[in-house]
Amino acid sequence: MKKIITLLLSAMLASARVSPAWAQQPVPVQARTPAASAGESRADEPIKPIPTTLKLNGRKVALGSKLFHEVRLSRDNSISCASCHSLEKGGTDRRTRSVGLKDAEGSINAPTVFNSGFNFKQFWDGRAENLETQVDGPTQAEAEMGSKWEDVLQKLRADAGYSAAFKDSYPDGVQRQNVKDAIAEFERSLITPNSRFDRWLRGDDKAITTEELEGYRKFKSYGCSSCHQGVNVGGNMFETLGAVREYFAERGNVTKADLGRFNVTGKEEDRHVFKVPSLRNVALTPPYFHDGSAKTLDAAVRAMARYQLGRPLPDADAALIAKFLQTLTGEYNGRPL
Amino acid sequence: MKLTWIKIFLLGATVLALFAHLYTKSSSVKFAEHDRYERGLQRLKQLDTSFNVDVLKARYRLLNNYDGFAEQLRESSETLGDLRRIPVFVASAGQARLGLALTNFSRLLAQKQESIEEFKTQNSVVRNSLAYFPTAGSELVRKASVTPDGRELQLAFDELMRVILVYSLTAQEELEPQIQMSIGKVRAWADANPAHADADIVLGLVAHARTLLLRKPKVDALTSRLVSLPTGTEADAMLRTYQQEFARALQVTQTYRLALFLCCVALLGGIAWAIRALRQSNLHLEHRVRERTSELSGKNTELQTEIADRKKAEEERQRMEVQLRHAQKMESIGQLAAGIAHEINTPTQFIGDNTRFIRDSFGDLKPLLDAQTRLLAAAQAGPVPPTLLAELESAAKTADVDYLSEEIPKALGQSLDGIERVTNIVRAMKEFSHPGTTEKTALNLNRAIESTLTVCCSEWKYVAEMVTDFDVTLPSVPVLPGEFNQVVLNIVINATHAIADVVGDGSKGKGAIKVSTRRDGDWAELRIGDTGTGIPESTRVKVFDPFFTTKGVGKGTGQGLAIAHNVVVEKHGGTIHFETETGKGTTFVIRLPLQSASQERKAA
Repeated sequence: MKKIITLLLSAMLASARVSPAWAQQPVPVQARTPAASAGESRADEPIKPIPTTLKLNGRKVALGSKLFHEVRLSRDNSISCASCHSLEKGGTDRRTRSVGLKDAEGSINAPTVFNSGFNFKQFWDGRAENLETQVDGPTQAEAEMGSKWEDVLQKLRADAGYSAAFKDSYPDGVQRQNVKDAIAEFERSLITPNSRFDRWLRGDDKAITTEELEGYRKFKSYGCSSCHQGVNVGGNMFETLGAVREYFAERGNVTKADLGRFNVTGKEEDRHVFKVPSLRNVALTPPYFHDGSAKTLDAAVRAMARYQLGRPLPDADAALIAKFLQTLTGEYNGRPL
Repeated sequence: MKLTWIKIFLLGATVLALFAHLYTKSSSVKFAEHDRYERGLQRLKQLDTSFNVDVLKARYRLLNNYDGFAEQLRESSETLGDLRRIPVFVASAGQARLGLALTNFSRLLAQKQESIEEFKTQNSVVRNSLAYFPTAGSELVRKASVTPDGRELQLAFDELMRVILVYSLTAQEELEPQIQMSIGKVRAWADANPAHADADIVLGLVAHARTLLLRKPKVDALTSRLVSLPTGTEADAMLRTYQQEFARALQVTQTYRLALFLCCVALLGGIAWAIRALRQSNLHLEHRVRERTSELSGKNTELQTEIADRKKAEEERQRMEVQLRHAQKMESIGQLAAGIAHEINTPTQFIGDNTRFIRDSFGDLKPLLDAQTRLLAAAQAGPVPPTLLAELESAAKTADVDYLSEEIPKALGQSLDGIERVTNIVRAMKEFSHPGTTEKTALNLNRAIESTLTVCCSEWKYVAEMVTDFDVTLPSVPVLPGEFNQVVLNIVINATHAIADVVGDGSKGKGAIKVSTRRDGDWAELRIGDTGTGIPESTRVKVFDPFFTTKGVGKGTGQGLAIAHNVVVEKHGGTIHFETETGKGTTFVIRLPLQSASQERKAA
């Protein structure tokens, strides 16, 4: 213990000299919002605002957008990525579980595609390290888009428009890794900055109401922000669903998908462990949780308090927190979602 | 010589190759690369340090978001990827060592990543429980203390809170049984009072206590594992290894630099030596040049003297030539003089004789004339005395009138002939010795030739018959008359001599000289042929050489044909050649242009 304290002290001293990587992230400055008001420093808040701009390859983004909405990525040319990740529905399909080829119901709730580039890993169980790898999942899954890469590439190559567009960005034209790269680049562009809460974080006191601010305080004091923190208000760690109280024992009917990260690592401690989802635009993406069991934001907040925090949550506080969560809805391409 | 060039080329190529090699070796340490690599290693260490700091901060609730971990890990693995491109100047052993260290580091990084994920998961819950437990517990204890039946709960919970607080701040695992015992007490209370208003909260707190008990050791273990993973020392070791390798590479470079420097010095020395040698040879050269210059100027003076001498000699020669030509002319004139004198003398002689005869005859006729005059006078006075007639008769007899009247006209005619012959010779001589002009004069060649033949008549007439065949249509030809006559004279005299060599004094028959002229286009052709000895083959080539003569000493200067050649070819632009056959004779052919070059130019 002594060693750890010494280390801590020295580390804190060192931190004054060596700024950690996250602190080096450029803090996007937004012109229309005033600088942080005096008195309250919001740089220390657990939640960080979404940068307003990203450096991306415009041509790849455009190509990725086309591919994202391309039904030929599915076996029978019936569905596209956007079918389950509709940009009009907060990047989801608002279904409990997604529906794939021939109305086959998937095993899990579709997470939002918005801000997915900020997630530390992809999928509920975090089995994909990045967005590129993630593309393999839904396109090849039998119950989702059910394609084989050879078929997809053949279909895309037959299209002169795609051949030309690929050639513009990739010397080797239509290739599996290029399709994935373009889609990933497009997905990285799906950011929703300028939410009211981000504006408040950047110093605009009037961006959120007193109630919403109170909700944010509750959000922190109840311990929600222990997991839902960072730029994406989540999406940077794993947590057991039912950390304090047995979620699955109470819900029952445990499926393979409910095993979460255990399916990836096979480790007992990863049973029922899931990636903590982002709460960005959470008001737009019901139902909630991997099983879509919480139909409303309020229900989700209550379930979280029960199973994750293990503490009673008065209705008033739950409502306040839900109100705060509404302030996390941002803008896509300059328009409110 | 060739071999030397090859040697020089090979030497140069070798020196260049050596320098190129040394230069490449001495500049093999790329400082940009070194900078990149060292920075990468330092960054790796830096990232590791800040990562560990963040772990500890997170553990003690000083860090409220986990974005940094993912960022730092991503950057670490990117940096690691970049570090796999080890600078080429690192020796192969060093490359292997660094490669091994990098592999080891990436393994450690993977462990770190695995641990940090678990750490985040556990730490978040522990953190919430620790935050919740004291507040909720204190509230519960406060509420329990005011109720009469709460004494038991207060005591049990007080103890649990106290132990948990210590437990949360330290890593004293031995507290665990104590906590378990406290939990058991609280739990027993809850079981005994299921209807109590706070029973649910109590059970919740018990769950939290159990969670803490389960998760806190894990967090501590993960924290210490993360912090003690030897990534930092490994990064330090890599940096040290690399710096050693860099120093070694630098030393090697220094050695090569020194070698390069020495080679440069050697080269400079060589160049200096070469320059010195060059300068010396230059001095030597200058000296030589000076010597040569003085030599040359000496030679030049000599040459100038020589040129002057030559000029003088040339002048002398020209003067001599003129003299010789003059002499030759004199010679021919001298030769001719005797003949001409004879030619003139003969008529003059008989003119004198005839004149004397006429004078004497007149003396004989005088008494006759006187007798006639007296008779005439007597006859006019009266009758003619017979004495007078007798006197006249006797006088007539004395005077031999018949003879005289026959001889005197003869003598007079003879004298007139002689005078004409003298006149002719004088005219020819006058024409032959035409005053030398430097201007060409249109000349009737036929007439000029005739004059010349006349002048030298005494030369040839005893040995040869002269046959002339003149083309009367031949137009005047522009010539230098004196020079031209001289040429004809020379050739005719030669012809005469050649014939004389054959016929002797002419008593046994004469030879022939044939002189002809004709027009051949734009040329006038003059042929002078003789029936003499011909020119022997051995001397044919020397015919036109000056001073070449076959004649005896005193008879010829050897200038005649040389002058002829000079006059015809150089002064008139004509040609002269001969056709000869030994024993049969020689014919000289002279061709002169009808128009002189200057006239042609005017015509054009």
